[in-house]
Parts: sequence; structure tokens; C-alpha cells
Amino acid sequence: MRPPGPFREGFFRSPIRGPVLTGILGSILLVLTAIVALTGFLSHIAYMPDLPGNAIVPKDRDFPLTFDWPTSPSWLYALTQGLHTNVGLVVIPFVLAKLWSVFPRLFVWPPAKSPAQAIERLSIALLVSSTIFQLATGVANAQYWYPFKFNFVVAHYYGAIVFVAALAIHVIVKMPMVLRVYKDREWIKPIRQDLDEPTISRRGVIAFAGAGALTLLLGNVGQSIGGPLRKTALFAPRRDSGFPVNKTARQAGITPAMVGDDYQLVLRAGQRVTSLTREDLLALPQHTARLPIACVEGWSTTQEWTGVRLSDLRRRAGASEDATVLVQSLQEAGVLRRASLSADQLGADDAMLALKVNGEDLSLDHGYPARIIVPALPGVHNTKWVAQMDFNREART
Amino acid sequence: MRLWLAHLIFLPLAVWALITVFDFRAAANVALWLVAAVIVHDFVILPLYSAADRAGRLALPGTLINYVRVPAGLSLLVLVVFWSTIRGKGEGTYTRVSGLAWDGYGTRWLLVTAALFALSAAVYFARRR
Repeated sequence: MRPPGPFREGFFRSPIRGPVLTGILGSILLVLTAIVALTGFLSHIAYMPDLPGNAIVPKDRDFPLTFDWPTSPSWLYALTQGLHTNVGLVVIPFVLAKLWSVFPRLFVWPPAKSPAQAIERLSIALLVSSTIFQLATGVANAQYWYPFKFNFVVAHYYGAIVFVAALAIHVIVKMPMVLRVYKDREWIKPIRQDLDEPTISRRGVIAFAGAGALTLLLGNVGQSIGGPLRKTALFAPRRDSGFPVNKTARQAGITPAMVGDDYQLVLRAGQRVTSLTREDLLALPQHTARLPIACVEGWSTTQEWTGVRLSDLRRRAGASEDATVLVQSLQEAGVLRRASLSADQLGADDAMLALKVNGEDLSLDHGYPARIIVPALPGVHNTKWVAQMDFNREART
Repeated sequence: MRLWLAHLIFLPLAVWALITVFDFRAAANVALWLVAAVIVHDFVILPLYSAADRAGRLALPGTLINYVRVPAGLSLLVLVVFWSTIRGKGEGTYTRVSGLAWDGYGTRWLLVTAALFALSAAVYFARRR
């Protein structure tokens, strides 16, 4: 027997629901979610999880699909992560519209007529669940809200794999239907004649979702572009400072005593240990470059950095040109107090240990006495308050 | 056939990812979030906005509803998506890590809401003339 309420035929009254609306929204979402998923996995690769200390998702439980993240163009990570977070917001109203368009299907009776239909409904449940999970956790994380107990990076990464797998199934199963929508305009007719008069057209619903997407985008994108547009990001967390601090010295446990006259940068290459004071570093050839620093949360800022090229430090340390380096902060605790850089990143022309920014000494919050700045590197890997650099290969003499 | 093949290839990948993520800390919390995501949308958010929309349609016949539906929908969308910034949920963490105060988000949301309704009213009167 058919249960009452939404399971009853004729319970849902809108005449604009149907394959046309769902198919068009599905096509839009396929393009948008492809951008979000691709840039998300690119960010995972940009963290170079193969290098010591960089992996957040353990290597033995991950795919070996990585490559050397390039250092040019310098705005590469600002672009990919800006797309990830902003297109991620744009997706939300289209997801809401699409779920609305197929909502009556949730209450079909009987729930499954065949094993094929049963398994398809299961994979759709996974798709809806992982979609909302990814959007909700991503949005909360970018806004510094952690209403969950799991590790965000880990859950967001595996959630993305569930999403991509469930989406692939959905696309393979539904693609013929979507193609028919574009070919066969007969489908434009309402499915049932006995429904309510429409109060909005299909085009109107898509435009409504588009207006929602635009509103969210305008409320946030300024923090990704930076400069004078930053202030236009009315709802973005990073609109108040032209040069945002990801983590203050106070929060990182860095005290003025740790960076005082006793400060020394230690370079290690095999048995060879080199110590440099800040005066020593300032006496080395200085390099200046305008480089963006872009956070995984989607904000970025471009500043003029001055310091010692990392390739010069590598030579001074006595390390070979194919060495990678583990950079450690003075910070005593915290997951991202150290990060490894590849040989290419060390060799990049603009990669440096910055001592100054915009012609002045770094402030303590921006990493005084010295911080890493490498073009196109995920923001948090530009280690601040650098204490030690361990090169893993000695130069052959 | 196509349906079974798609599931045969990709369902194991999704199941592997789920099993793996449940092997990390707070597995129960991940499961809760995955299930709650669907329940909150399908049985709270969608019925709520549907009921509000139906009430609006009763009060405003025909396509008149759109002059309220669109600004209200956009305003609520912004409120839900930027809930954390508007309600200051992330304030403690944000101030600790950035050294900055968290200010003005609620006011700006009210202003944006007012602007959306004003724009909608302007369109309504422009069309009626």
C-alpha cells in the first residue's frame, strides 16, 4: 500500500519540474563541479605530499598521482585555489535548485522496482550526501568554523573521492537522458497536465540560481583577487587587512626573545652545519620580487619581498642542486610548523628566504627574522620564523 | 548494462574512500555529518522553504510572488552560506590566528537584504508603470 503525504501521486504541484530543468541544471553543475574537484586535487598535489613532512593524508592510504608543482606563473596557486573556493560557492545555489527539481523522486513508490534501481538509488544517496558534505565542510573551514571533530583535510579529501566516484556513476547513467533533453524539445512540455499554473519559468529558476551564484561570488571573490577589490568581499573573512596574517606570532608561540640577538639560522647538509645570524643573511646578495601568497582558504595578497635566494643558501650550505629541503620554524608545536620544498622550488629564480617586505623588516607576525617565499607555493608552506633548513643531499666535492 | 558497469567500476572507489576515512579519528562524527547532510537538506531545509514559498503564493497571487521570492531567497542563501561569518561562529579562531577583530558582517547582511528588497520593489514599480 502506498504511504500518505509526499508518496501520494499529485502531492508535488510544480509543473516546471522534469527532465528538461534537471538536465540543464545537471549540465551546468557538471562543468562547475569539475572545476572545483580538479582544482581541489591540484591543491592536494601542490602541497607535494611526497616530500618529507608534507603529507597530511598518509601516503600509504593515498593515490600516487602526484607531480612536481610548478613555480611559474607565480599566481598559479592563487588562481587554482581562488577557483576552488569561489566556484565552490557558485555551485551551492545550483545544487539547491537541482535537488529541488528532483525532490519528488525521493518519494517514488515502491522505493525500488528492480535491483538496478536499488543500487542506483544508493549511489545517488552517496552523491547527495558527499556533495552537501563537501560544500558544508569547505564553507565552514574557509570561515574558521569547526563544528566537527574530524580532521578537515582528511575528511574533505576522502569526501571528494566519494563525490567524484558517485558523480561518475550518475553521469554515466544519466547522460543519455540529458542528451535527449537537448535533442528532443517535446520534453519541454510538462509531464502532467493537472498541476498548478507555474509562477516562474524553467529559465526563471535557472536565472534565480544564477543570481544566487553571483551574489555569493561577489560577497567573497574580493579576498581572492586582493588589492582595492578586497573590500568588496562583504562576507569574506579576509576583507579587513590588505596584508593578512594567517597565524600571529602570539598564536604560534613565538616570543621576542626567540627572535632576538641570539637568533641563528641553521643550515644542514649531511655532516656540514652552517649557522647564520640575521646580520649575516643581510650581508649576502639580496633579491627583490613581487610575489603573491595564496592561502588554501582562497584569499591571496601580493607583496614585494626582499631576501636571500634559496639557491644561494643551498650553495652556502654545501648541498647539491638535486637536494630537497625540510624547512622548520621556531614554532614549537602545530601541524604546519615545517614544510619540505622540492629541488625545483629551491632553484626558482624568485624563491627566497625573505628578510624584508615592501622595503621594511618583516613584522613578527609576518615571520621576522626570516621566512620562506616561493612562487606558486601554497601559502602555509611559506614557513615563517625559519629556524632550520635540512638539505637532504650533500654536494659532491 | 551501462548502469551495472558504472557501479562496478566506481562504487568500489567510493566504498574504499569511505572505509579509509572511517579509519581516521572521529569516524562516528564523519558518518554523522554524511547522514545529517542529507537529512538536514531533504527533511528540514527543503520543506521549510517550500512551506514559506507556499504561504507566499497564497498571499501573493500569480507571478507577484517573485518580487518577494527572489530577494528573500538570495538573502537567505547568503545567510546560510556565510552563517559562520555573519553569526561570528568563527570569531574566536579568526581573532586568534589573524590578530584582527571580526566586525560588521551582520550589519552588512542586513544592508544587502534591504538593498535586494529595494531593487525588487524598484523593478516592480518600473514594470507596473
